[in-house]
Amino acid sequence: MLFNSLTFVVFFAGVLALHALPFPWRVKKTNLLIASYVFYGAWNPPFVILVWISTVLDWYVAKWMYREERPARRRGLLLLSVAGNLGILGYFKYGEFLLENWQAAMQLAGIAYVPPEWSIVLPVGISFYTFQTMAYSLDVYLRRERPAESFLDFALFVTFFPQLVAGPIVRPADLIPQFAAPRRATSSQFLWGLGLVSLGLFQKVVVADTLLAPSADEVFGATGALHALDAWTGVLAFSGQIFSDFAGYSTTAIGVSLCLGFSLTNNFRYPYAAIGFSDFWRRWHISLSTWLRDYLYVPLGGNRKGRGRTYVNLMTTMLLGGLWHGASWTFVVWGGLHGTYLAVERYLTERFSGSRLAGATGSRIALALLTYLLVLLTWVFFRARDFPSAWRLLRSMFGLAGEGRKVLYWNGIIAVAAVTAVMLVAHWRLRDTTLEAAVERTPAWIIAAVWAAMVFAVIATQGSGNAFIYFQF
Amino acid sequence: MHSSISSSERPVPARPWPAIFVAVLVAAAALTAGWELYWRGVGFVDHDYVDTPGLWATQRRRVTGDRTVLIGSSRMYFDVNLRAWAELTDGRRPIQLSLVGTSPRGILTELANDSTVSGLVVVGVTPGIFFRTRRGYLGDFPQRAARESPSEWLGQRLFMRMERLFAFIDWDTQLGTILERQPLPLREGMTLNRAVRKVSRTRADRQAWLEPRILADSAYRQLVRDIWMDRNDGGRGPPSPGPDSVSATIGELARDIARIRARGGDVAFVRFPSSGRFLAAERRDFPRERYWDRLARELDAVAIHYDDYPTLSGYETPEWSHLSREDAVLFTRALVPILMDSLEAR
Repeated sequence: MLFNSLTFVVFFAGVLALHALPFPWRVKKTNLLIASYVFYGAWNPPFVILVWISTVLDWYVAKWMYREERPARRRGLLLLSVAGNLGILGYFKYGEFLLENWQAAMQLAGIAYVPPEWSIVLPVGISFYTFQTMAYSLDVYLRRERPAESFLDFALFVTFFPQLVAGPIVRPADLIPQFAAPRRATSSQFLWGLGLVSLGLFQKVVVADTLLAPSADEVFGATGALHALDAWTGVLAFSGQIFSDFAGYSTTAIGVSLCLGFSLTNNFRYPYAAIGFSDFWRRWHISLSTWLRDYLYVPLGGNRKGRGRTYVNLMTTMLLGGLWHGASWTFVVWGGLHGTYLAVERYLTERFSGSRLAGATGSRIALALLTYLLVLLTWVFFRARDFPSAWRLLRSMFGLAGEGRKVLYWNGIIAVAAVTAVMLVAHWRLRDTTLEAAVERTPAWIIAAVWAAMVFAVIATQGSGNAFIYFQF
Repeated sequence: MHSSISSSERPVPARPWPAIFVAVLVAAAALTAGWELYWRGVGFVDHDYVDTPGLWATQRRRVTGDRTVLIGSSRMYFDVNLRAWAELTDGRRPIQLSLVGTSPRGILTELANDSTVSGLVVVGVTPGIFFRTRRGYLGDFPQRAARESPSEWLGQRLFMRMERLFAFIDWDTQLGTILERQPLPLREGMTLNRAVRKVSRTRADRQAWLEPRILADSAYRQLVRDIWMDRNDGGRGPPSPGPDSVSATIGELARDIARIRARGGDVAFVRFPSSGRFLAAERRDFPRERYWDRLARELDAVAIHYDDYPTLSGYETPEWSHLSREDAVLFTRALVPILMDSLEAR
C-alpha cells in the first residue's frame, strides 16, 4: 500500500479509529499487527509469509542465544539468524545478479553456461525489515539488549506498518519499549503528526514526482550524448527527486507513527547542506548509515586497528552499503565513490586539521557546495541503468561528448533550477537546527498558510500512484 | 530491554495546533472548491473517468464466455456507442477494451490465450498504429491490470468515487500537466512536442465519446488537429512497415483468430472513418491496397472498411480522426447490422 494513495487514506482512518477505541492495550497492539500485515499484504499477500519467517526465526534464535552461554553455540545461533535473513534477501534480491555474474565468470573461463531464467518478484522493502530483524539478533548476541519479553511486541516491531517497507530502520531499543505500555497521541502530537504526513506527501507527490521526476527520467532515459545543460539538469533533478522521495517517505512514516502515539527517529537532517562526507552520512539515510556503522564498520574493527585497516573497513562498509541498495555493479560503484570520498576526507582532515579557513562562513558554504557537487556525481551511477549510460552522462556533463542533444524544455529546466535553489537554501538554513525548532519560531498564520498550500498542491497534483523509489531496495 | 525511550520521544513544536488545523481545513477546502469551480467553468465535468489500468481492469474482468469484446485504438473507443450496439444485438453491451494510441494486437493475443473467452472480438484497425506495433501508448495497461494488487483494486474504486464528485480530476488538469504546458520560448534547435489534449469523455463502463469542446470551440478543434499532424505529417512517425512485417502481422492474427474460433468465438475487423489531412497522411503512409486490403484478403475473417459501405461513409470527423458523440450512435446503428450479416454469411 502506498502512502500516497486513497487506499492508504481509508486504511489509516480505520487504524486510527480502532486505535482510539477503548480496547485493552493488548487488543490495540494486535489490531496494529493485523493492520501491518494487511498493509504489507495489500501489495502481494503471499509475501507476508516472508515477514512471518523473519519474525519467528529471530524471536526463537534470540531467546535461545540469550540463554546460551557457550560462545560457539551462540555464534552458531547468530549465524542461523544472519543466514536466514540474508538467505531470504539473497534469494529474492541478489539471485539474478549472482547468476548473471556467474555466467560472466564462466564465459571468461571459456565455459558457455546458460543460467535458468530468473523471474522472481522482489518483495517490497525486504532490505529494510531484514536489516531491522538482524539488528535485533545482533544486539542480543553482542549483549547490548535483552530479548523482547512479548512475542506480540516483537512481531509488531518487525512489522510496524509506518516504517515496514522503506524505513527508517528502527533499532529494537527504540521501538520495542514503546509497545510495552499504552500509548495514545495527544492532540498536539496528532495534529503535528498530520502536519508531517502532509509535508512528506508534498515532498513525494509534488516535488519528487511532479516537478523533478520528468526531467530526471528524460535525461537518464536518453540513449545518446546530451547537451551539458540537459545533463546537469537531469542529475540535479535526480538529486532532488531521490531526496524528496525518500525523505518524504520517512517524514510521512514519522507523522503516521506520531498520530498513533509512537516516536520514530529522524532519517534525514538536511543532507545537501553537509560539509564533507562524514557529515553527509550523518544526515543522509541516518538509520542505514548508523546500522552499517554499528553492525559492520565497528565489528570489522572500525578505526581501532590502525590507519590502513581503517581505510579498508571504511571502503568495505560503503561497498556493501552500495550493494544493499540494489543488485547491480552501478550501486557498488556508488558505494565505492562514497567510500573513496570518506577515505580522502579522513586523510585530508588528519593532515590539515585546525585550518583557520575551516570556520569561516564563506569556506563552509564553498565546502558544502563542493560536497553537493561530488555527491551529484555519485547519483549518476546510482540512477543510470548501466555503466555506458553513466559514462555517457558524465561526459555530457563536462562537455566531452561533443554536440549533445537537447531533450529538456525550459519548463522542466526552470522547475528543476527553482526546486534545487530552494532545497539548497532550506537545507543550509536548517542544517544546525530542527524542523520542530524552526516551526516553533514561525507565526501560526504562516504555518497554516504553508500547510494548506501543501495540501492543496497534493490534491491538485492528483497523484499518479508512483511507488516510492526506496521500496525497490 | 535496557534502553529507555524517554530520550527518543519526538518533540512537538509549541504552537496552537487546533486553531492552525481548522484554518488549514478551511483554506484547503476553499482552494479546492475554487479549483473545482474553475475547471467546471472551463468545461470539465464530474462522472468523467480517467482511463487507468485499474479502470481497464474493471472491464477486462467482465470478459468471459460469449461476451462481445471491442478492442482497438481511440476510434473503436470513441466511435462505438455501447447502448446502441446492445439494442441491435442480444441486449448486452459489448465490453470496451480499446486503448487510445495503442495497438489491439497484443490484447487480441491475450484474449486468444484466455481459455474462458469464447465470444466475438471486434478489432478496430487504425493503420498507423495497428500495423506498426503490438503495443503503443498504453501498451502496458493489460500487464499492469493483470498484476493489479489488492491495494490498487481498492484504490481504483475509491478514485472512481472521487471522480463522481469532482470535475477537476483529469490528466489535463493535473498540476504537472499544467506546468508542462506553459508556453515558454523554445530552446534553439528544439521542436515543440505537444502532448495530446483532452479529446474524450469516459464513463465508468468505458463508454467514451469525443470531447464536446472539440465541436464547440474551433480554436481547440484546430489545436487537436495540429497535434495529430505533429505526429502523423511529414514523416515524423516511424517508417511504415514493409510487406514482410505485414505478412508477419497477418500470420500472428491468423493464429489468434484460430484459437478463439476453436472455442466457438470469432474475430472481425473494422476500419473507422477519418478525414482531412489525417486521412491524407494515412493514405500516403498506409495505402489501403498494401495494408487493409491484404489483411481483408489474406485473413479468413470479416473485415469492414467504412469506405465500402454507403451507410458507414459520409460522416464528419471534426478533428479528422473521430466521430462526434451523436454520429457515433448513428455509425454504430449502421455498423452492427453489417457486421452481424457479414458474420452470418461467412
